[in-house]
Amino acid sequence: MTFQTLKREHPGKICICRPHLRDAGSGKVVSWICLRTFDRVDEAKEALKSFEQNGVTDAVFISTNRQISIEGDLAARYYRVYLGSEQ
Amino acid sequence: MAALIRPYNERCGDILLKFKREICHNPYADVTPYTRMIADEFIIWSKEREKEIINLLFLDLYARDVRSLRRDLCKFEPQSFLSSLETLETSKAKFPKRVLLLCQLYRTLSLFVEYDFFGYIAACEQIGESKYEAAWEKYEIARRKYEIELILLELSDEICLNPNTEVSLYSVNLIELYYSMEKVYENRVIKTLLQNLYAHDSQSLDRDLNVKIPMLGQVNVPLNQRAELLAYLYGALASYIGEDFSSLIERCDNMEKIYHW
Repeated sequence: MTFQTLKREHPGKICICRPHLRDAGSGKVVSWICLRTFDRVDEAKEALKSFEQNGVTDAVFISTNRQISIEGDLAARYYRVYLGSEQ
Repeated sequence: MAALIRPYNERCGDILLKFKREICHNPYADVTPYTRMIADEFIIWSKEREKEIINLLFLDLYARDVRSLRRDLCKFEPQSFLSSLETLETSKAKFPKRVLLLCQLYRTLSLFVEYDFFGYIAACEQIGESKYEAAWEKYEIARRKYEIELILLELSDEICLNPNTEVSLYSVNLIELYYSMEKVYENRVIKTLLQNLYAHDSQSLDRDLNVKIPMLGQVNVPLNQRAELLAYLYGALASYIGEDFSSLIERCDNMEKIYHW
């Protein structure tokens, strides 16, 4: 799902997503697989930890209606996944 | 069922109260915007119903083993599976273990179709008749709006005679109208599943449903084959699921919480 589709299907939600398709040139994610949606950031963070414990290390959360500031490991993970820096 | 009805009743009720206020203010108000609002609600409800059916099929495939289902869904790569299907020509080549998949889903599918697969078997030969299906869908949308409008016009007449008319009865009528159409949406999911598994091969579907599967009886899918069958089920219903597994994973999480697995 592109970000526009995520916004349309899950307005106002925090979505936990994995990469689906990447741009061939830049390697950036252009489409996501949506795994779960939440209303609150803290719920999404807890779920992300749970996904990681179950072996899903390339999931990130995406807000469809506002900017969320992330830092530290979460930020590093987001850039690693989004840019595909380990591809 | 009561819990399911109430949210629909409230949503309908809100729209009808707005409609009532408008009619009290202007007896000649146009019902079209309200017809559209209710038709849009019906679409939302039907999509929720489709998701419920699809979730049920996946849960059946995994015999309610929600942990394994969630694990396999999180690892599943839809694009590579769909790409691999494109290289194969026949439905048998794409889904070689379709009988095993249908065995697992047979009981649930039978309940939905009331043990009458005849129409679905015939539909397998009709893939490609998209003009007919598009025309039928247009007719259904028009018919749905017409029936909604009739109820609203009746309510409008009633409000003009008595501004204190209760809307709850009309809300119930609208929900009954929705439920009378819901079967169509359920059938469409099952038809899509069977059409994709057995495209243009109605003879094999007929044989598998009526002979092979009853002979095999209840089959426990070996654990090491579940992920493969999950891919089949996804492939056959990809037009509904796309890349959105959130409804199904949420269902798994909720079931795990309820049963403390």
